[in-house]
Amino acid sequence: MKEHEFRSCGEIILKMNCVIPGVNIKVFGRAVHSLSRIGEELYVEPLEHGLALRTVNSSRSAYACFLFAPSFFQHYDDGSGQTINGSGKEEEEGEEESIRCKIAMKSCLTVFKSVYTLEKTVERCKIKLDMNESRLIFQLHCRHGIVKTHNLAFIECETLQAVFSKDMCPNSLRASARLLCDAVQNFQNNQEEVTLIVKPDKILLKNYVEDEPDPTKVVHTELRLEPEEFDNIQVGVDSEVTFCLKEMRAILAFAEATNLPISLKFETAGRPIVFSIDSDSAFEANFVLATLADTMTQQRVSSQAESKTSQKRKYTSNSRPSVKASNKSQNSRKESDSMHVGRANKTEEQSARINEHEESRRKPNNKSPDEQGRSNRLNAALSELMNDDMDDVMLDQETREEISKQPIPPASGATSVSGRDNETDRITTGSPVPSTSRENVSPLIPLQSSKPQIFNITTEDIEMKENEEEEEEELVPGTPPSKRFRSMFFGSQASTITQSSQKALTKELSVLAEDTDDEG
Amino acid sequence: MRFRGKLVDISCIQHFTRVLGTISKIIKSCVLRITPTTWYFILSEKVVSGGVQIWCELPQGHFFDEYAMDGVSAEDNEIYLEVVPENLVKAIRTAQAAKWIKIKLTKKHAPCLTVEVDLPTVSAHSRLVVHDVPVSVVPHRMWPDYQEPELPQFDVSICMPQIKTLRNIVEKMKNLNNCLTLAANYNGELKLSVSTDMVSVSTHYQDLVNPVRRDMGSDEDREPQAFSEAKIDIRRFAQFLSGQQVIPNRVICNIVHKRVVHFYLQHEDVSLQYFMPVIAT
Amino acid sequence: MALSTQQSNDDDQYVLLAKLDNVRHVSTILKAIHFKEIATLFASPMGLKVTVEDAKCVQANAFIQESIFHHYIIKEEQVNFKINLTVLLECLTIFGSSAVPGVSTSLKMCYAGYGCPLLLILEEDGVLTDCSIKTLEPDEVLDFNFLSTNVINKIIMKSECLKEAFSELDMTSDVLQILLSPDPPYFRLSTFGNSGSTHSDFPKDSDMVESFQCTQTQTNRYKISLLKPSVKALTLSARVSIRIDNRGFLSLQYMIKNEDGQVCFVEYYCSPDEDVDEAEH
Repeated sequence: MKEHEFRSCGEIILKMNCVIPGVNIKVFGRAVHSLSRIGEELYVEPLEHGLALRTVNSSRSAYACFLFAPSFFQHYDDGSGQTINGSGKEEEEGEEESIRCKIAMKSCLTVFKSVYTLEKTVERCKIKLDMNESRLIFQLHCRHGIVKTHNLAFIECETLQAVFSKDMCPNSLRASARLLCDAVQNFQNNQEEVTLIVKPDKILLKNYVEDEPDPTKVVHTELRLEPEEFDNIQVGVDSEVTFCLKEMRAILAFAEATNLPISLKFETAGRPIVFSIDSDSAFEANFVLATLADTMTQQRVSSQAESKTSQKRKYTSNSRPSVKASNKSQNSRKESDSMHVGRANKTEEQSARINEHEESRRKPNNKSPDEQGRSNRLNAALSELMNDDMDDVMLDQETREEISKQPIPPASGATSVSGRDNETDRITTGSPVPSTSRENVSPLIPLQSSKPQIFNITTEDIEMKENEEEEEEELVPGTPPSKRFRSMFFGSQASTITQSSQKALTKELSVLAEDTDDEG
Repeated sequence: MRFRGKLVDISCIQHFTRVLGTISKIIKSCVLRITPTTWYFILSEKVVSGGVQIWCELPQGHFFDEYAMDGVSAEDNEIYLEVVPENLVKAIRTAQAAKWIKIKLTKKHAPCLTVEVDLPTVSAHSRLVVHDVPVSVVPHRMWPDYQEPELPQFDVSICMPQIKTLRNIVEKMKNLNNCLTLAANYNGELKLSVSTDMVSVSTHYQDLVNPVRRDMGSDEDREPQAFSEAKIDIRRFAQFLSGQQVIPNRVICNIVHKRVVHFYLQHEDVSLQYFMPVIAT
Repeated sequence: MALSTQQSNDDDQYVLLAKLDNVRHVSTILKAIHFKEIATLFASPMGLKVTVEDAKCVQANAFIQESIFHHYIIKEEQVNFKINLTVLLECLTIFGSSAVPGVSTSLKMCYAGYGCPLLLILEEDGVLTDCSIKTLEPDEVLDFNFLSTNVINKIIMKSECLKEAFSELDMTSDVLQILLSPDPPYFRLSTFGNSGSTHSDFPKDSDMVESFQCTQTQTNRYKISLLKPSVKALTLSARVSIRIDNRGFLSLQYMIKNEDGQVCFVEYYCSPDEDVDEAEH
């Protein structure tokens, strides 16, 4: 295999070199499309056990990760055997050197713009990292000898990883993509959020109606699914979780196109919900979405806590990263790290639980050597702690108190404020921080509305316009309304957080976040 | 006040959806008048919406398999509700393959027309979907505002040509100007024209049918070839044409020279009247 | 019919009179060069040439030879005028843009001379549309002075493989760089946009390449915004020839077959972008 397929001025140092066979390009392209509906930056990390593509939305309330195993590729070289030229990166403790970089999602989408065309014309796709020029290279070898090379500028960055433990979730549903797509079809295209309600005998899906502008003017839709319709269902705790429908559609689109079943793992309001797709040993996808935490649900949680104390306690004690705790979980699958994503309401019980989380987080992750299984491989890849508490560190005392006084708690479960001080040390030594969005509030990006086609489009134009529109629709990442879904990874941005403290937060963030180099 | 209706037949459901779809394309919000025999969709805002008036009659027996209602009182056994047709359409649209649809007047978060749909699924189960479409009740004292419009003495009546080509032509003309002149005569001729400094375009239909007028006035002296015309807003007209999902048996256009343009659509038992505002010249 | 005899008397007044049975033969070709509002029409005994220019750097010409028309009369050696191409296309496609099987729209085009409007009479299924479009003073058009003898590199290929590359051009790049060389990569299209550079390589021995005559390596850059509109012509064509002369001027010639199998040509000329000095990778 020729390394140098184009002229160069100097020596090309390549890390990572893999080839996707034609038959898998469609899946890879669809994965990119799916990721593009979540976030605007694509984090790429070649690992020994596969190539990880990840993204997070700007309000940090949705995270997605695709992991493509070496068997997905015709040839897979994660580049760990080669040296880096002058980047001077220190090795992480106990980790092999690997390059982590991110590229603009739009650029990657350009490479895989028309999945239909890719399928028809591309025979194989090579992916390489050129360290000299800071380029991630996608080279599509097409029919008729045509070669398309995309040299995308990347920025080196730290790992974007969410730590979550889907196997610990008391609630688990597994369904065909068809079932979920059919269900979701009953909601309008512009519906932002839906609520999933599970009880042992019934499952309901309804649209979530915000208090503003006027809930009485909005159509309320509710549908019921029977437990028998699911491939697998486990309801450990009655729950009602509200999450972003638009983001769920991103997952469904991928699952439907690849005809794979989806697993939903969740627990209670405020705790994230994880959508997973896996295809034997070839690849896996995990989408972690924040869920709304509201007073009503909280009350329910509290009352549930009393009646299901034992269960809750089980969960709590299982939150340590140690693998050995796994046998206490309901699933027989091995445990992985505890769920740190999201921010919960400040009930005492939860604070206690959270502190435990914090403690456990500081411990290094260790996996038992006999860990097997695909999901474990994925979890291993995701096992690095994400220093998502940057915001919390920055959060001043005043705001923390404000938060704890909150009658309406902010969204999405998670880690406590108190525990974060312990994190400060790690942070200042420059430990991993995903690049942050500078915005105070993530803007609501409207989805392209489905207007009827205008009639004066010619057949020729149709061909192009359809592509454009299709592209447009897929390009828009579904960003949930910021004020409800707070970052799962960053601290809670309480809805009453003052503008000034918000700015202070962002400013501090900008100091500690990695530099964004000039785009090479 | 109570209402409960059930649609069971697939073709009824589909027809019902198409009619509602047509209405939703023309107007944003209107009054639904429910009587023991008929559903009426009424828009009667003369000045507010630029002179648009809609009167649509759906005989309930044509759609509903089960139908029960209790009006405001025994003497006035009718219900008037303000609805957004689009909301109803969206709820019903997903039900095109439904086993049945139930529509009920309910009080949920607000007064609602609750649409319950029983959808078939891959497995043996049925999927029950409930849409609560908010409505508001129109008080009895306002009912006189929503009477059937009086038809003026028209200068000409003509059956419109096929919607398809008409739609294309109007869409193109829309790109040239905002204002279209509609003209017809008793010789079966219809003309549509737009005119700007740059361009004049005129489309001429012949051999169309002139229906017999309801009240034949003493217009024997009028030349059949004389055109009566009026200027209308092209975008509104284009919208009206594009919204016709039901291919009506007949669309009749009635014109009062420079004053009124009235369309009458008839499909099986459903009728729709549309007074389109005329641009003064 | 009274109408047609009247017409044949009127027809004598026109310096240009052209008729054809399928208006799409004209409208399709004109769409291929529709990237600016105004076009210049040159009519000669050979047929029609319609020219559109932009920024004094790019020029597109559409040729509709007289054999495309079943009736073509021109009373002068050359008849020129400027016209709004957008409006012209709206009129030519008044009955709809897409082809309907079995239905064809006829066109009669008349021009009475300097200062007169261009008259179009279209007919479909007995429905007549008359259009009268104002004509404007014709300006000089650019002469790119592109001579075959000065061509350094030339490639003729099947359009289909280029269509994708052209439709997906990274528009955040200012330029489109074209490399033609007797050595690998032979034919390369490159863009340099916000996210990085993209290269599409077409080897000379590809089965998509019909003819490859390159004597020396040439790399030229053209403003992408000027060349992007050529994708319309590319999409319609079956084959395209790409030639670059000794000044770096680009000539793109598209062979377009119409619904009746007749062949028409569209060509684009583009001068190289002066602003850039060196090639990037």
